[in-house]
Amino acid sequence: MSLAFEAVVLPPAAHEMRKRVRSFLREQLAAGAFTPRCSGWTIFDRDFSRSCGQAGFIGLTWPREWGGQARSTLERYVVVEELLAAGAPVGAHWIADRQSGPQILRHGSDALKAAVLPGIVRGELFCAIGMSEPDSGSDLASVRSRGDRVDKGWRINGRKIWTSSGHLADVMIGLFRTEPADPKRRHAGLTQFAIDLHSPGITRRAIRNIAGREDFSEITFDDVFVPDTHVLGQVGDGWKLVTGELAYERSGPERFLSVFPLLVECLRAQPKADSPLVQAELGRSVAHLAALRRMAISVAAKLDAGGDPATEAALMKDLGNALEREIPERLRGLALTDPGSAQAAPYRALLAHTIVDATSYTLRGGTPEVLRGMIARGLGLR
Amino acid sequence: MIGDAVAKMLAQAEASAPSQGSGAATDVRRFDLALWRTLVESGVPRLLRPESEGGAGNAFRDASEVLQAIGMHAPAVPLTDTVVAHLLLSRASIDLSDERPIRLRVTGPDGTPDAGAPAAVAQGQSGPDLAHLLEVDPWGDEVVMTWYPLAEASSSAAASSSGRSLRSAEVPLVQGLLALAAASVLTGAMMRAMAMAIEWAGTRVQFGRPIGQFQAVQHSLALAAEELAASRAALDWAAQEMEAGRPMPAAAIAKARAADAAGKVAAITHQVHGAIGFTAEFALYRSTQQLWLWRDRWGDEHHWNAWLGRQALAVGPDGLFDLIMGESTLR
Repeated sequence: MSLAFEAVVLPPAAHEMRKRVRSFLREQLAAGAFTPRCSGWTIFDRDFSRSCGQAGFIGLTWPREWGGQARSTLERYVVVEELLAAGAPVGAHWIADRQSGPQILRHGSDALKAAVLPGIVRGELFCAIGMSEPDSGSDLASVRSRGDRVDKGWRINGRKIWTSSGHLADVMIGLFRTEPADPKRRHAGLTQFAIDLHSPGITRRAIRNIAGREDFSEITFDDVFVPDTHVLGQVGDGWKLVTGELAYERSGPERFLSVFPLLVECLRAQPKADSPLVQAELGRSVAHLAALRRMAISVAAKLDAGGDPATEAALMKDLGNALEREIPERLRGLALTDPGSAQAAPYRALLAHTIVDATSYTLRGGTPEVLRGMIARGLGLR
Repeated sequence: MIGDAVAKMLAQAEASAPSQGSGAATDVRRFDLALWRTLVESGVPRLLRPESEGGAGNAFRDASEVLQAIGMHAPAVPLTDTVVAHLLLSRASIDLSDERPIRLRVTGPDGTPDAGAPAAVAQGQSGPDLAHLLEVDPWGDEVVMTWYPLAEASSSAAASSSGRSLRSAEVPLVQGLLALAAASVLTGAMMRAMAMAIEWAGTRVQFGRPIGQFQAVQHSLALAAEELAASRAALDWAAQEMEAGRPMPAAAIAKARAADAAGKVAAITHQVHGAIGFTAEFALYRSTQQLWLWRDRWGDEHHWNAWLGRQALAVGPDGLFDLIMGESTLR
């Protein structure tokens, strides 16, 4: 079987980094900068992201030339898991730090790097992912939004939708058709552009979701000019680029730690400690989360070594999302020592919110139906 | 390294063993003395003893690989019991002058008797295949053991009626070792069952194509692969932690995770095989019988989940993430 999650030991530098993040989080909590929430990576908070930038927690692995600190992926891993476990609102810079910045570093022009990366590192410039369209969800290769050649650049037309923070972000890395669709070569003729979302011709509309939040949005492109310097990689290589980006998108701890703050709040609400059911449910969550965490560290190390863990990332995301759906459902049944206590109310509110929110985890970043197909290919079944 | 070597020995033994399609519960197999001698020559049973006692010392990663190979090939030798028992005896300063296998009988956390590895192996037989016996109760404040060595000369006598009483304060080490060993066997058995199911799905043709081309079958196997991958990741980490002198909570996590996965992997691999997998002449049951045995043996997932849950309740909200990281200093 080709799927391998090598055991990895975190380096001493990662432990130092963990201390720094914890101390930062203690200060931020003491200052009232945030209230712990589930899915902190989807909560957009400009001020908190700027604080993260100032503290040096964004773009850690990038070269110093562009504002980074040239640290290892494992040090970055520790930073993001601590931020998520604390329920911190890191959604504004999350996508830029996780995948858009790295994508620009690997495939962008120096002009693009200079224009975008230092702002990301400061926690002041935010990114969005332009993949889905009204008629292209899981079938990403069917995108119809297009770029047409013009003098010194490209003219973009079309529509992207379900774009997380699309109405708030500054730059979108989007997949566009730059040649007419060819049913025989579905993955050909696609190109990735980094688009300034403040350009003329862009209309953005936030979409309210069933959790009552405006997280995602619809973006319309009407003759938007994008300079040649903002093409990623080679024209026509978009499919290769976008699938490379997905390993970063799918393999992080946000794919299993989104509901961790709910477990913390559950402990605060004092579940009946002598109940075997309470013990077993809490312990099962610990065991499953710990296993997923080792998988995530292993994938981070593989990315660090220049490997391509696309299938491992798909596997980890599917398993992690399933657990995130399961945990709130299973916690529902757990009795509290004092159900009417002051600690019980925030727990119950968070539980109700998380059950709704968790519905979205398997809809974004690749559905189980798509991911399991990738795993099956990894097993040699297709 | 030694894991690969042992896997090769076991694969050879498996290939040369006469087909014994006696089926699940009645699968009585005679002790494979030739294989045992080969393993003894390579020093495998003593693997976890210190080098001065013919072992490799603190070799939990090697031991885990060896026991995964056991799970994969299900040989007719009580190697898992013996490897574990050698470390327990070594910690009690007991060595053996012979290389007979050692049976372990570990009382369950709730007092249930040890279901044991295939019970018929070596029982009531005489000669060099008769085993020593070590009884263990590791669930209290200290580990209580009774050691029943065979008399040196009279191998036909069953274990002497009065055993030697041993006590150990190394509760986390002993519990961790048992959990790690069981998780290793489970993981090896899952790897084998998966390999068989993938191969079967690629060759069995229905509706004009291999069943592995149907999305429903692919997704089932993908789910089983996820369970196996999570079990392996937890196990590799636990073996590393054991070597670092931190048996808990990693070993408990590894057993809880693998035992949780075992039932699902058994169900999916049998489903993919259809009726043939439910027959005594097809080898799938060798793997799945081990999954059903070892998920229960030496503490099932309910026990370890509850144990981990008590740790979580003890460390409280501020210590929960440290527990998941394995940083807890609690037992």
